[in-house]
Amino acid sequence: VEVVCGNSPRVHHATGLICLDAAMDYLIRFLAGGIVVSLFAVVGDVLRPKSFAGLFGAAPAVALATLTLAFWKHGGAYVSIEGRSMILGAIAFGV
Amino acid sequence: MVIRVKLAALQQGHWYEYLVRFALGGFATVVAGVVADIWGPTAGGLFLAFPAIFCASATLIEKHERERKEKKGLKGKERGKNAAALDAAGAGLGSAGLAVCGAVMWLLAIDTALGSLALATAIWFAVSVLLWRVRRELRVYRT
Repeated sequence: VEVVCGNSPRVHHATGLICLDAAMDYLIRFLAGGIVVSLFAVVGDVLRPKSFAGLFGAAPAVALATLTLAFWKHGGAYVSIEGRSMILGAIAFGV
Repeated sequence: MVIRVKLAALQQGHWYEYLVRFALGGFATVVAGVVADIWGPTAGGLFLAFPAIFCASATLIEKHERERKEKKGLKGKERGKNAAALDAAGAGLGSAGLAVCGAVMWLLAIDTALGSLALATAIWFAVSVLLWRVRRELRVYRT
């Protein structure tokens, strides 16, 4: 069940339900992320040798989908902070 | 070794495997968004490097390679494991490229939106390929 409650807060304070605009935002995120991840995964599928194809397992698919939306909604400063944290996330992935 | 494209590999996959990848990619992106909304961009950024593709691909590669060998009447279990290990090695190198990609976003995102995204992706690819090439050269040199 969704309710309309503006951009902030994303969860309706009285009911605890997810706001309609936030739900739409998450739906767009889901579709964008799914499409970008699928595209990179297909590229990795068809490339040989397998060690080279494996590079695409670490493609910035989630980052591209998320940061494109973040630019649109929050601007460059917000994206810059996310990029800085992404470095740590990538190091954790490599380990 | 020459890098080549093998389109026949797409025929090995089932429709539901592509659906699972799509769902996993979408879910990971939503989680990154939810975390950023609740705890801010510093926490959300950590999830931008979530290995959505690798998680979905590694198991599929192992399965496809095993099935391919078993169709020929050979034991494919070991071969499947090796194929998944090669994929993981590549992903490990790609993660270094991903870190550089994050650094480019960190440094350039304030100045240019589309430019930083395009440059970060290009640099991820360049760094990953460079590391892969260096690794190959070192392996040849050792043997």
